[in-house]
Amino acid sequence: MAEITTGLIAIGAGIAIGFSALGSGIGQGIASSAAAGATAEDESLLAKMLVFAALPETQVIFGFVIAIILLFVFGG
Amino acid sequence: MITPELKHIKLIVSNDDKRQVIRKLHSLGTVHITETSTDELDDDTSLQEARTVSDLLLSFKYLDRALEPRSPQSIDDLPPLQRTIDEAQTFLDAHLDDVKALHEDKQDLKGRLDDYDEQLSILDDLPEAVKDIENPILFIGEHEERNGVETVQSSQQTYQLITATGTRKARLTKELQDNLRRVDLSFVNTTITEAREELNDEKQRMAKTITEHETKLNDLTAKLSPKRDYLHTVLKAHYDELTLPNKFQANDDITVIEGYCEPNTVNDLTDNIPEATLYEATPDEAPTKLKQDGVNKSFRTVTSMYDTPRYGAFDPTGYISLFYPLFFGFMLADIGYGMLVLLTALLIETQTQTTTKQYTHILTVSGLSTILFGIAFGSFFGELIPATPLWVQPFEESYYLLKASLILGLIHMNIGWTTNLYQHITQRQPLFKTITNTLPLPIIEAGAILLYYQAYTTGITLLILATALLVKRDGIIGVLGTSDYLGTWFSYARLLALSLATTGIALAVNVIASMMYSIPIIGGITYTAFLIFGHTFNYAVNVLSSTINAARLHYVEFFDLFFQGGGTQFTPFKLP
Repeated sequence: MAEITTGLIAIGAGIAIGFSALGSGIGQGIASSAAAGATAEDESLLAKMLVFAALPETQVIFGFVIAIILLFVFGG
Repeated sequence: MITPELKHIKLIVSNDDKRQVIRKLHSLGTVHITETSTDELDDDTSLQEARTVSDLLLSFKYLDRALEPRSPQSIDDLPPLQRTIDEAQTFLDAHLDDVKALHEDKQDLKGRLDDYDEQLSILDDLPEAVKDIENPILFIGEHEERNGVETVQSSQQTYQLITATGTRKARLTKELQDNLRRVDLSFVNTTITEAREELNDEKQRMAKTITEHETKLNDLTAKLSPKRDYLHTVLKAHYDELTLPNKFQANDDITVIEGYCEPNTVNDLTDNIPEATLYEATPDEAPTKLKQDGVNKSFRTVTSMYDTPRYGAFDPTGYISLFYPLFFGFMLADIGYGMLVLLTALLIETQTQTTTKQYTHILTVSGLSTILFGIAFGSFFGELIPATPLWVQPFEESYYLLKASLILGLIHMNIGWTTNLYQHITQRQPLFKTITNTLPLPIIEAGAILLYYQAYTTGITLLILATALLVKRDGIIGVLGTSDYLGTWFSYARLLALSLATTGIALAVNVIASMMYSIPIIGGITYTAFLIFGHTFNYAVNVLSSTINAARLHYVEFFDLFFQGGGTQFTPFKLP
């Protein structure tokens, strides 16, 4: 039983990271292409656009927090 | 700290004294002049002169591009305008055509050199079998067999070579042209081998001419720069003076000059410009004077890249100079990578360009922070060089480090709302606005702490109070405010996430490299090559990541709690 629980926790952590990374990746792709376009128009926007491109990373960070909590709190 | 106070002043001068007053303001260099009104100034002589100077400045800008730049000389007194115009015109008449001819010829030769390189790369890719054929006709790709068409192969491509002659040659060429892409050999008049030799000879001749032109341009730089820089500076100063009246409000008799200055410079103005009547107006959309000393000078770039704080708002550069390197070091956290960051800073410092030098201090502090976190986490190019962690081993105690990241985030966020409270008090904002703008976060924190210690009634009451304040401030969307703060707080978990990513990739590089070591004979070489490649890749990716994310934690999470942007930087009207 304990092994099944450990396995399910590992799968849960994998899903938390995997799907949030997928979502972040798609979001980052969209944001980055728009940011690249804006920077091509006006170079002074580079810093703000880099941040815009990094904004969708937050979703994968949430997934990461969930995964860490699953592994270390529930997984012992 | 709150940006310093500025005085809003208006100077009323008679039109006869206008030029003289502008000159005095220019030499005092303490006033940031703003637009006084939208009234159009008559197209008087000063604007016609400005156009003349503007045309001359354009030519000088061209010289700046063509000749190596030198730092401008300082000048105490401007020579009269007409003398400057005559002097500049004489200088341009004597030298502009020579510089232009050399510069344009050099650019043209460089363009042709690129064309030759492209042509040579086409010839280099062709199969050996066609290299001694005169004017070969070649097509790229596969084609069914035909008499008069031969298939030849290079290491990269398959080609079809027309070997037929006369009318059959023309017919086959047309047939293949409809199906395949013809190799453009229009520049070849002999065999491929001879054409290559000719192109290489021509390239050498051009490279020699370019070097000669560059030497001549360098000589001209040395000879003309002092005079050019002097004239450029003087022309720019005259131009600023001549175009300044565009900002004034004027009638037939008087002109009103409006601007901002520091309180301690107001007396200088009244003492030095007795022709003008000065009075202080209410500060309205005043520019922001930012401190440019000490740590502020380097980390100002990070704030400026985002926005300029508005007048009377808090300037966050001091916080950035502390937290930016801290976050950067936490995320990169490796002794070896920290040393590479310091090396990068040293390389930039040795360059002459002053624009990039402003980053060296940021890089140096961030590099030192990376080394300190590397020592704390026991990481030296992963575990390539063994180092005992002084604090924790990130992979073994990730949960502990997650808590550390979130505590750091909590400290950062609390500094944010405290600053906002201080800012609201110094700006004498209404009490209720101060409460709704600054207190929801600490109330949520207090509620969460009480819930943790099982004081449910008080804890939930505080959370409801915080939500009510947020709804009052933001409307119905305010009900999401609590989860918004929670999201902001969790965002600081990226400190751990990126730290683990850096260490994880470094460990993976070391493991793969050690596997390569067991390859017979070339094991040592592949091991070293992969280590260099892998760690360079990891360094580049994670330095970029840490740079962006350390900035992002400030721009998105931190600034959202207090930053009031949209300001205009205080730029006094003075000589360059």
